Amino acid sequence: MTYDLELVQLGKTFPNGTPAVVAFDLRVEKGEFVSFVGPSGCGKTTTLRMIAGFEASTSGDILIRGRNVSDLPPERRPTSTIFQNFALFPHMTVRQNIEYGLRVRGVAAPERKRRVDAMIDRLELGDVADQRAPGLSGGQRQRVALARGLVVEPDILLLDEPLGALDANLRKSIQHQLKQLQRTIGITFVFVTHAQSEALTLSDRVVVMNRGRSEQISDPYELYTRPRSAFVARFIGRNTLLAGSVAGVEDGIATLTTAFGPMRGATNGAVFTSGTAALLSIPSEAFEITAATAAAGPERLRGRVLGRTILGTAVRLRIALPDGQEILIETHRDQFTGEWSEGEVMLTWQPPDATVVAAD
Amino acid sequence: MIRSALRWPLAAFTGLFLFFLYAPFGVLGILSFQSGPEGGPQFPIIHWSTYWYRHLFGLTPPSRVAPLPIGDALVRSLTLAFLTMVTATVLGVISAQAFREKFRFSGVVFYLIVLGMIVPGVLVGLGTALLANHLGVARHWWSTSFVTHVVYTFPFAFLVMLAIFNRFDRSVEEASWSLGVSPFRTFNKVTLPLIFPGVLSAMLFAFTLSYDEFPRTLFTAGGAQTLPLAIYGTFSIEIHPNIFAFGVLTTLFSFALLAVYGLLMALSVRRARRVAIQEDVR
Repeated sequence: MTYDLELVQLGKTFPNGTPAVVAFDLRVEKGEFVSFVGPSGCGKTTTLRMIAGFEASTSGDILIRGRNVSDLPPERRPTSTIFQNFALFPHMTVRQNIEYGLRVRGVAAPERKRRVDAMIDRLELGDVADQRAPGLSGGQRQRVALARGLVVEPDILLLDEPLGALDANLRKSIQHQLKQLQRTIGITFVFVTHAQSEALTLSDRVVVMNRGRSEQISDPYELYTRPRSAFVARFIGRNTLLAGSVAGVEDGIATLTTAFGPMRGATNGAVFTSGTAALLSIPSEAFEITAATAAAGPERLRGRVLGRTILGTAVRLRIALPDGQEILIETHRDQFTGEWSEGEVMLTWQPPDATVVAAD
Repeated sequence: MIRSALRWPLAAFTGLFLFFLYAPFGVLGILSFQSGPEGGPQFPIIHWSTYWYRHLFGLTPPSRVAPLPIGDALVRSLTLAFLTMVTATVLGVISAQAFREKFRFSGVVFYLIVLGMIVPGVLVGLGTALLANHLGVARHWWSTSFVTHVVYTFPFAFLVMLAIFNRFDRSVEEASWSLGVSPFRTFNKVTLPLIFPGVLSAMLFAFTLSYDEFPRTLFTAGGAQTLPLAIYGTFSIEIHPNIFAFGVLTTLFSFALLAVYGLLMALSVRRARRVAIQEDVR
């Protein structure tokens, strides 16, 4: 089968020898919404720009619908790019911006008008169609950028942090619109962001990148509950990490020797040999908080409540572990009892909810 | 305290600056309204008259003062300035475009271009003349002078365009490419309209620098002189106030050029401001 986008051992090394992207493999099916997420400098934007053709790759191939586009200039690739600052043409009106790609390609006037009008309708830009681009609000600009990119009917839409320039409230509602738009149009979206919440909310699959490598490619649920590396465990979600070494594995549950004694979590298919340095990653929502009456054990940690914040239906507790590490746990208000509001508590988890990953 | 103590000296300094900037022109202007044809430059004016302006255009009865031999020179200078302006601006835009990316030796090339601005003009003119003689190339205002004028004004146009490109958001060009538009058409449809105010400034620089260029032209113009050379030539015989009248007219012409430039600039700035105001309202 042909994929909409296929990256084969894609790599880029800057002229000064710094690797920006290393041996990146990815296959994206038609209509998928894929996000690249990672800290700044992880290579996510460079990868996007290589797909768009703005930057040359130094190794590997980029295939779009089975065609190798690695050596094509941007204008000959079936992609459109949405930029963080939207990059609207300031000397043109909204309509002219949207029309631009079709006009230069020589699409006949009646068809051009039909397609542009449809796009203006779809993105609700009728009221501002004759205004110049710089006068628009952030949300409007973003919609113009989307309309301009989509009207030329690309195979893939590339989005480079398109929500980064918007304020927090707007971002939430636009996330929703963006997802709806992608569903109805049905074309492949490749979305770059440094905000994990955006990636998890919007995507069918998320690629976590770090230092030019893809650390994990998973759907959001898997990514959130089953991190496969220490980096992902730190970067995605809110996990408590305990360092130790593998003492043994039984039925997919590994026991780690840690500073607090033996601790247990799931291996999720990863293979560990005894003595390997590893981390136990426990998601904050996996903890059950009880009074510190029970004895500590391999799925229990003793903690000390330092403070609490009421968040409406939830309560956020700030808890110190015996090694001084501080963690934040949100628990339902019903669970909140005065008994352990201050002082010693016991944190319990089910070993399958925690994950053991190799130490880095 | 210090601020108020400095106020008057600074005001005086500013006043002096403006005085030295405009007083020579003022004197010239006043002297141009002398009566004629008798008498040289005298101050103060005894009798005000527009005689020398009429003399300039051949509207006075023949007298012992010959008409200024500058008609052809003026046409030559305007033509030369126009050609220089077009050539230097085109080259300036193209090379500034090249310097948006670093290329091998780009730093060295940049300094070589800019250093050219501070080489003494007389030497450049003399050198070009010697080179032309050596190569057997005839010297004309439209050949050797044209080349030196382009070489002289190009760095100015280049620097103006470089400053413009420095603030230019390249993602609008990338957006255009990604919509399937070739770099060449992108330049015409997106880049050029956005850098146009800068192009205008570069044109103005090149035109005015070429129009009153003297040292580089002196040795390279050959037989047919440009305006600054022709005017200088008249000094060596006898100075009559018709020169002053001409000076006033040519300065007014320069002001008119500036006014056109200002108008074009204001149009593009107003467009930008209108846009900015809309943004504030939102």
